[in-house]
Amino acid sequence: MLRPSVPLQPGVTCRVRALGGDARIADRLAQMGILPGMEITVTRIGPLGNPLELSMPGGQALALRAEEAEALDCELVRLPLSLVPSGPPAWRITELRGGQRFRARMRALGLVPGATLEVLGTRPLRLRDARGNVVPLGRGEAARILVEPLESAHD
Amino acid sequence: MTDFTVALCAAPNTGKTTLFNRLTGANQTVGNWPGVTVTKKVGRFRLDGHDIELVDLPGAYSLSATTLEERVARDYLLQSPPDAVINIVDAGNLYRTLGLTLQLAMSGLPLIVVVNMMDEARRQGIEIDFEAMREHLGVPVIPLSARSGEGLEELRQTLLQVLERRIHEHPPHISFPPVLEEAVADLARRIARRGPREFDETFVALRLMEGGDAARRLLHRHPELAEVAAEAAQRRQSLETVLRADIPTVCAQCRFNAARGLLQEAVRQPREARENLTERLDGLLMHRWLGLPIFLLLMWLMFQGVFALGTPLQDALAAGLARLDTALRAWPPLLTLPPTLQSLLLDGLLAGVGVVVSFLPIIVLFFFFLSLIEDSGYMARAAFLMDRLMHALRLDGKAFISLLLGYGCNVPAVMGTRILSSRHNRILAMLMIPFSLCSARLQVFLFLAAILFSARLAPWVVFGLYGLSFLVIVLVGLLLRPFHFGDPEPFIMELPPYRLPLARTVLLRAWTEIRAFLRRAASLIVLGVVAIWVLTHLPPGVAPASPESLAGRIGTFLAPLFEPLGIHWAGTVSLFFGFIAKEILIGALAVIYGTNNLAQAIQADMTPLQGLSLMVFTLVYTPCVATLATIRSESASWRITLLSVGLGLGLAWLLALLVYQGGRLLGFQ
Repeated sequence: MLRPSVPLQPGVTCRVRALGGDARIADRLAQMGILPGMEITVTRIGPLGNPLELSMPGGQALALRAEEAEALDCELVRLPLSLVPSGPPAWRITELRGGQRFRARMRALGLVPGATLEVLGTRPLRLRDARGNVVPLGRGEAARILVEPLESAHD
Repeated sequence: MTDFTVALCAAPNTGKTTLFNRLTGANQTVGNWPGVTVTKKVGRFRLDGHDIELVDLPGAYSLSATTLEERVARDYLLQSPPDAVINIVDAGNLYRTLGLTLQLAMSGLPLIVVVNMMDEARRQGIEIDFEAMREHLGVPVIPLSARSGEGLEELRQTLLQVLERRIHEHPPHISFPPVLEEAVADLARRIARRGPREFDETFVALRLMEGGDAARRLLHRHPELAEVAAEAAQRRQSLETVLRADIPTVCAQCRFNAARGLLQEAVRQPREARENLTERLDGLLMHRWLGLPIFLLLMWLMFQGVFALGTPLQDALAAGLARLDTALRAWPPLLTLPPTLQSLLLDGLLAGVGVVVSFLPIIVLFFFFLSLIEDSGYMARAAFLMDRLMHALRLDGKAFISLLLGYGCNVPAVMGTRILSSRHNRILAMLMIPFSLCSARLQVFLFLAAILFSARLAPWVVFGLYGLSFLVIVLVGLLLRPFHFGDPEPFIMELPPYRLPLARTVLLRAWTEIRAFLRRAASLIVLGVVAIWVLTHLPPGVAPASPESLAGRIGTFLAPLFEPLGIHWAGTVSLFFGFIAKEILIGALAVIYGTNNLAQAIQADMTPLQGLSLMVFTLVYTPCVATLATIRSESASWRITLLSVGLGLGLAWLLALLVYQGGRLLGFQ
């Protein structure tokens, strides 16, 4: 279970709150050093939608089936803007993944690390920045912007 | 004569095999751990005049076992504590391997920690303070590179010192939540008074606290601990309620906290963690759309490699044996023996040896390619790519490779099930593989189809048989779905970094596998062939496979069972020969009909529909003797072996019945 709920897609990073769910999986993960407090990033999805490749700090990579990964109690840390569902919770930009020109273009739109924004619609992607301006953005560009949920960033 | 026993215990992907090979060279044997489908490797080497036996324990992340491999490793250490343990950790990623290291260090067993893959770590700019590690762990810590051999001499010298008890080790202390700490200390005090000398009392207390199998193993060896164990079990319940997690998980958390503390002090590493090469290769090999086509291409290459190279070698060996056979038949000393004995030696024993020998080239080639795939790290990727499909049959992705190989030859495919995780997967794959249309069966089908069907139709018949084989495999998978063979294990698989396979390791693997096949399966195969000789050549004086022979009589007796399938007496008797090796079926038919013009005899005896029924039966019925012997040696279970035969015969009969009677209903003969 991932809170707030977003699909487990490449680029999503979450922090384990509890190993919960299936006891056998919880125990196995614990014995492999995957424990509450750890940040996990989804790096890849299998060709038929399963399994997931997860990467751990230190460069360890694990394959896990989606249904088993979903049984973990996780809190969303950050994800690419392209995966953000539309709706009220606000998001904050943590990182721009791209070259000089990409960053300059984003800066011109007011999209810099630390800036907050809201997603009005996903198809096409429409954002509202902190001053209330509506910013249209391409999917490819959104995939290179990492954001974190604003609420959990406070606690 | 063994002076000391040393166990090699490490997490997967730490270079365990490479170090094992470095220490023992070709002096090693492969077998199974008693009663389970897990490979056991034992090697020997000499150290300063001592004879050392090195036991390679299966890969384990923890002694609080959650997989079959881990159970085997833990049970070995608890039940027959070795004189020393060598633990290997990965210098490039210490964290994931340190959990086991801390457990081993706490055990009180004499331990040496080897920090392997130092060359790789140095390239990545990782610096390790070994003095700090020694201090924290309380045991010798040795930097090493098993690939280059660097540090090997130091390991040998340290091992000698540890074995001669010239190094004093002290188990590290790990802090637990206060309630647990208190309970463990209390139990430890009571254990210290009476308990085992070979283990540290805190370690014993923790194992008893975890309960389950570990506690049982300890009690088995040390019945005097029964009282403490009972109390540990009581405390476990109340503690798990208080801590709101089970004890092994709490302990893991504490161990990895300690590991993190140790790393902070002893390791400096640059931020860029995952290796660049692995990331780039994965971008291509694990690509969402390109990954599967590339995998299938690699599998095709492997298949071609094994069989395109193997078949000429097999033919050459067969030709050599045929020459030997001819020569022996004219050899005067042999001619003085009674005819029945001559036949037993040539048609029974020598034929059996011939069957064994015919498998050697493919087994060598198969394990050559298999270890390339495994050692490079690609195996885990293949499993990742195929998992979704194979999971539908409740297998994991690696099983695809075994099943695919079965279409070349069942024997190496069954041997290859050892790469699968969990006993359930291994047994299930072993039961499915014999239904794949191997090259031996293909020979029979090509021959029969060409005789009984028109040139236009024959290829479609063979193609249809391939389809049927595939269908039967899926059917068997669905049929066996409700059954569990061994405890279910969750699918959590590490994707190790890519590494260049070492020629030494690959060749050594092929060599040890051949020896294992000869030692474990060869005698069973020869025995099986001789048994068929008995059935077809006895009682003495009968013409081989004639109605008067045992097989002939059984064939007559079974006629009511085979009549509804449209299989006549000759076909029934030829099936006995097919058990030796399916391709022999054709030659056997020639002997049974007693003719030089086999095509005519077959056409006279069976209609195309009856021939098709015989082909279907041949495809599905019992695995050949070599496959069966391999299933027996890999599963370590006669019940599974018998199940394989029963499943095959039952399905074969039903399917042939369906084909023949269905065909008749449609108006064919």
